Formats: sequence, structure tokens, C-alpha cells
Amino acid sequence: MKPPRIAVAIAVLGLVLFLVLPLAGLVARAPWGHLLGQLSGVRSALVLSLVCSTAATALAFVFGVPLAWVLARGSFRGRRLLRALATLPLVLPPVVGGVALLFAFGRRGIIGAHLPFRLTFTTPGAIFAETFVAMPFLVLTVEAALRSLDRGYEEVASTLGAGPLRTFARVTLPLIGPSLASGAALTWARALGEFGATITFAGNIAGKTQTLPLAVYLALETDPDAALALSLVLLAVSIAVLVIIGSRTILDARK
Amino acid sequence: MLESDIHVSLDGFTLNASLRVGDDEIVAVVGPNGAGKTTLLRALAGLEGGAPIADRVGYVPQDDYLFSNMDVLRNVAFGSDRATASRFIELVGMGLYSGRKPSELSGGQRKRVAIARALAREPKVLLLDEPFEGLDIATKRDVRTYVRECSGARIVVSHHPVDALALADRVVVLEEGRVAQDGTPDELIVHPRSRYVADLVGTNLYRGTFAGNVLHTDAGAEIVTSRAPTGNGFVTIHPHAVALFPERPAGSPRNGWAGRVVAVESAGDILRVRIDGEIAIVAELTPAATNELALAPGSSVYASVKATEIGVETD
Repeated sequence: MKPPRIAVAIAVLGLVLFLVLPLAGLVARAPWGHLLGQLSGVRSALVLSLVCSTAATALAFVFGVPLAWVLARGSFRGRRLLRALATLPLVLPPVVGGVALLFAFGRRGIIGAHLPFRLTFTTPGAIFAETFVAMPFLVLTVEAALRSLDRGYEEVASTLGAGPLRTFARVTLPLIGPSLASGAALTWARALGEFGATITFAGNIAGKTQTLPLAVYLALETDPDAALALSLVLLAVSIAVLVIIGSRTILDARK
Repeated sequence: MLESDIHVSLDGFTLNASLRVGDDEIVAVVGPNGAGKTTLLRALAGLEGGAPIADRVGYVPQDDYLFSNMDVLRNVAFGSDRATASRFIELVGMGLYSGRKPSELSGGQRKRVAIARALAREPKVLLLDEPFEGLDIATKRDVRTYVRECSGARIVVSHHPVDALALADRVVVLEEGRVAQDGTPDELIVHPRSRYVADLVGTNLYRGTFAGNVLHTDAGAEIVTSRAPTGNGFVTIHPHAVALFPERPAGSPRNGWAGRVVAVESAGDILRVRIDGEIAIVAELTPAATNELALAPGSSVYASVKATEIGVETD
């Protein structure tokens, strides 16, 4: 059954209101003439953002892949509860996440008070906050891939004498490679755009914790052209990530 | 001799089976769909929670499960080393394909690689789940040869009776999660203990060695065939083709074996007569013919088959 005209009209209106017009505004007002000049002024924020979101993705990998493994294959009580908890940062307002991190790892936090180093208002702190917010994207993607993977491959590997770790590294991970890639891309993009938890936990210190979204927000007050230029960069990155994931999905669908 | 007691409960299905296999024996596990054949094999491989039947098993599931990210050599070397892997890749005739990915191979080639991967473990027990399913005749014959010629115990699950009987020293019949019968192919032909077994061995099949146009069966009988192959192989004789006589047919060049009727049973509108003696064989006759011969358990008969009615297969 084809959707009726009224549904199509509402869908088009929604697209225009919430997607086309905002993006058109961004593109129309962008300082195309001196875009590169504007960007060079915020180069440190750009570099910091790339470093932080890449490091956050790596951290999410280190902790998220085992977590996804446990969630997908473990058999223990409370697994569903654990899965819900692991995905909590997806729905939690990032500012709340930042506050939570502050009272756990801040200087007066329950853990932070005993740490020999400071996490708040440092670059590692920004990475930490981004990991907190972005890791569920990796966990969910990898867990779904593990759950839909035919167990036969792992079983055969085990009869060939491979232990669980070797089987996971040499057989399972390569088999879910496409999902790992799209999970990583989603995680990286989410970390790149992170604002609330980062500014709450790590602050807004130029060159140390001031990532692109923070720089955009700050620049809007003083230098709207710079804010526009930065926004365009973030938009381009988002589209690139979508294209990467999209082509992966299309390749998978064609198999 | 290896032994394993299997107890598996899965979604309301219970499998309770004891299985023993000689160190160099081929056991076929047959049974109707849902009897638990695959579950039994998985349990023997250590995939149903318990320990495997031996510390080194070679498991070939029905789907080949080749690792798609590895080429043929790395697949086969996964459970061994490259030198051993190369040797077994050569053995299954895949030497030219060492560097290929599984996605570049045909179904038959993939099965060869899957078998090489299990063999490269140099297992004490080789476990094969429906190894002939979906294979062309040439590949089927090769797979039969690999399984017969490798050393160690071999357990083959099959729902195809000819494939199973052609390969096995002993047949284990599984029905509803239990061992319904366990015996040599000849024992099953003469004394089937259930309807399923009786139907299963509906085709007479004899393994042996060909010399001229005579097959010398492993059980000591001689069968004259119309072809003269060499080496090992087997013949099949359809029960329709078996004629029964009260006395040895005089001057006949055909196959004739003396025996005694073990059982006469009805199978639809024909009668199935089981005979043991110089050969264990099943004949199918019309009720009229049976009456004429006055066949009953214990009567002596001669079974006769034209050489041209005998199917010949070599290894």
C-alpha cells in the first residue's frame, strides 16, 4: 500500500523544517570566501577534536568489545539489566553524565580524590567524557553482530584446538569486521560531536579541552563566521561517516 | 577402543546414547530426521557441554564453515601447522587452490578443504556430519576414499543408507534419541530390529575387492558382476533383482548362494524375504511367488542374481 498524499506532504514538511532549512542556513551564510582563513584560527580545536575522538574510539574498543562479547555470549543472571545499563549513556543527558563523572573522578569524587593525577580539566578528561558518551554505539553494534553470527564458525575453531581468546581474535572479530567498522565510525562521530559531558567534566580550556563543538559554541558569541566554518567542518564529517556506514551496509546487503 | 556416554537434553528432546568405536573403525550413524544424529556428533565433538570423545577430534559439520577471512592454506593450518596443512591440501586435490579464499571455491571444493582442515589435526576420531550431502558423484567418491583411507576412528552421520553402508564397518541406528540397533551391515540386513532399519537396508550392499569380474566381499562371499573393475569397491543389488529357488539352479552361470530364510515380512503389496547363509541378502517377491516356494523361516533356498542386475562402484 502506498502512503497517502497527506502522509507524503507531512513527511516533506518535516524534512524541510528539520533538515533542509537548517542546513541551508548553514551553507548560505558560510564565509566561503575566507573559509580556510577562519579554519586556521581554530586549528588547535580541530586537531584536539581529532585526537580526542580517535583516542575515545580506541578506548571504547578496548572496553566495549569485551563488554559486547560478555553481553552477547555470557550466561548469567542480570544480563538484560547489564545491557540496559551499558546503553544508559545513549539516553542520559550528556550534562548529567558529565556531573556523574565529576563526582566519581573529579578532585573531590569518590575515586578522583585518591587518584595521583588529575582527570578533570585535562585532555585525558575530555577523552574520558567522550568515551563515556560514545561507547554504547560500539557496544550495541558489536553485540548485535555477535548475536547474529552463526556459532558454527566458533564451534569449528574450538574443535580445531583454539581457545576462546584465539577463536575470538582470529575467527570472530574478522567475521564481524564490517560491524566493527561501522560501530567504530558511529562512535568516532559521536565522540567528535560531544559537548555536554565534555564541558561539564573537562571544562572549556583552549588547546587542552576545547574541542570543536565547544569552540563553535564559544565562537558564536564573538566570531559567528568562525562558528559557521567550524559547523561546516562538523557537517562534512557527519556526512562522510554516514557514507562510510552506508556503503558498508549496502555491501553487506548485496552479499 | 573409544567409548562415550552421551546424555543431552535440548528443548524437550533427550538424547541417551552409548557409543563405542574401534581405534581404526568406521561407524555410520543413521536414523530418521530428528533422531538426534547431529546432536550425537556434536556431543562427541565436545560441543554440547561435555568433553569430546578424544582429546584430538576432527569435526566436519554439514555446512563447511570455512573461515572466510583466511585462504585455503590458513584455514587448514588453523588447527595444525603449514607443513601438515599443505600435505592434506595436496591429499584432497586442492594443491592449486592454497591461496584462494573460500568464496572463490565451489561447494565440492569447499567440502574438500573442510575435510582437509579436520584431517590436518591428525585426529584420533574423525566426525563427519552428512559429508556427502549436495556433492557431485566424483566428489562423493573422493570423499569416501579420504574417509576410508585415513587412519583413526571415523564416525559418519548420514541419512542416506547407501552412502552409510558403502563406508561403514559398523552401523549405529539412532531412533528418537536412543540407539535402536548397533551391528555390521550384514547383521542389519538379516536381523533388522525395527521397521526403520528394515527399510533402511532395503538395498543389498556388499563391500569387497574386485578380481576380474568377481567381487570378493569382506564377509567371504563371491559375487559375479558384468564389469571387471580392479581394486576396492562395492556392489548394490536391488531386492527386486533377487530370484529364489528351492534348489541350486543347474548349470546356471549366474550368481547362486545357498541360505536359509530368516524372516518373511510384508512390505506393502510385496513380501520381503531375509536370507542368511553364503551371503546375507534381502529378496522382494510377490505373495504368489512366495506361496509357490512355500517360504517360511528356516526353509533352505538358493538366492540368484543376474550379473547384469548388479550395480558396481569402485573406490
